[in-house]
Amino acid sequence: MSAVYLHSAVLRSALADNLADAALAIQQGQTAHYRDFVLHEREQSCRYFSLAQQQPLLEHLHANINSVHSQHAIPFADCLLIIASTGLNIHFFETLTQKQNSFNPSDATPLNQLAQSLQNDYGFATAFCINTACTSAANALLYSARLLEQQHYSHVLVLAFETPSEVAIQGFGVLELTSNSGRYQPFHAQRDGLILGESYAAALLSNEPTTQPLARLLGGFSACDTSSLTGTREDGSHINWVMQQALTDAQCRRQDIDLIKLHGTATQANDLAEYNGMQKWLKEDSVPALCVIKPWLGHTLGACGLSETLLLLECLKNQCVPIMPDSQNCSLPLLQTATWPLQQTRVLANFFGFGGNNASIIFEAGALPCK
Amino acid sequence: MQVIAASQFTGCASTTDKQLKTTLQQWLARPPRRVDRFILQSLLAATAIQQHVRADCGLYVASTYPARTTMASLLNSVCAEQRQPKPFEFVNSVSNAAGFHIAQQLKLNGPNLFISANAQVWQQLSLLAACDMQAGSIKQALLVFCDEDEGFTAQAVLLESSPTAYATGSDFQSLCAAIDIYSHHFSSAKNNE
Repeated sequence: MSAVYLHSAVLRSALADNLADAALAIQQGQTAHYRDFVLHEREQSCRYFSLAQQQPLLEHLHANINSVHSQHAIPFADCLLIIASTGLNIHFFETLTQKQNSFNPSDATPLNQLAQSLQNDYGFATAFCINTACTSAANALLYSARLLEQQHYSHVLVLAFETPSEVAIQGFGVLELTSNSGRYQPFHAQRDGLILGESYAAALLSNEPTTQPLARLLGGFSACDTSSLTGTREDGSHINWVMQQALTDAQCRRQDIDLIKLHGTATQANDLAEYNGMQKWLKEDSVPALCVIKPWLGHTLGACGLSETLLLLECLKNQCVPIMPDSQNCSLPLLQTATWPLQQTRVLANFFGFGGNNASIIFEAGALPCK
Repeated sequence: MQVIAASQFTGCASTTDKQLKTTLQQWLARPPRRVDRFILQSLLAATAIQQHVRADCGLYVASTYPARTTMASLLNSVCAEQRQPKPFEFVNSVSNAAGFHIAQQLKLNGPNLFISANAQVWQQLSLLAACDMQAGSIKQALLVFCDEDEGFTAQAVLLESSPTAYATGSDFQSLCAAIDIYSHHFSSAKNNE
């Protein structure tokens, strides 16, 4: 794949109101704002990483589009809008259910309603949503790059978000995937599950570099593992295959990768599969550095492909990498030094989801020419 | 790309899930258990043309609405009755669950996308498929579209890469103009009894 540029990024998360402050918060050792929820019928408390101030979804989306546009003014008529989210307007449905004390199937609105509304408001060339569970935003980035490569649009705006959702919290709770301890520790010996997170991210992709692109997207791959609806093969073989295909697409070799951003949900099964999928990499002479992002943002589900990517790229811009406390007790050798020495970094980022979707994306931070 | 097979299933609100399952058994000896109406409709459209599908096929699914009955059941459990959701309803509510079941039944391990449908749904599905064909990751693409409001329509189109032919058409009928479409209409449950 020909490289495309990622720029004009925005991130509102439980860590901070903007991307720069979120990266700074990590450097200063701050942690995400959170609220506690109780799982129905279990009276068990469950942590959720939420924004400090609640705001309606549409206000977030308009603010993010305007923020992108203020960084890089583009003609929206040549721009495709892709929304990546698993919940979309679930918060609206939940509020309606509480108000009516019931929800009828006919109350469900079209999946494209939000995208259509934003298309009408801003005059985007067209707009649709991608929903492939936790790989939604990763797929949005990958297919944006492919559509740009083939000159279908001059720009693609990716909006990725997850709102607080009672259905998601209770759903992951009933599957026993949520953390009881409230400590988010992917790959740690005492990991006990995930903590969901709220986030609203946006970024623009284009064939032409701007003055300060965050990164070049070199390629990637996304495919379906049909072994289970809720997870990937425990032996890691599908994960390893997807990573290998991503390297081929980006015309890279394993030894070209400096840093791997692991998916790292901290659930028993996912972390084990990713651990196994990483074994071939760990046998290389030159093992890439490994990091995780979810302990700072929570698992932002369909948005994680963009929210985690942006936060990592911003950290790399500051020449630092998020370091998880007690990472020496993890099954994979996660980085233990926050200072990142490289000016240019080739990153492979993993994202896995329900529905068997596994995706790996390869970026070059610093937006410098290929090695 | 050229269209090599297509199917269309239509029905009304009174078409039962049992009718969908019974018809699905024409193509699948053992349909997956605990799946919802949206998944059944998607499976019908895809499996009706499965004999033409090869392993190097990408899957691109679109829908106008979420799985409405599943959403209603989940929301009523969680937000109205303050109960835990049923695990299979929660996992079925993920929009790409239909794509997973199609891929599992047809043994497709390649790209698998789900998008929201708008007026240009067939152009968008074709475009995404063309991206993967151009990238060399697939040689075939199975496009599936479901729309359930009062009645329902589930359609599938199988595309194959071709150096000479290019599938054109902004809607299902024009896309499939050159081939015979496998069609099935479910009459109301009452008439079938």
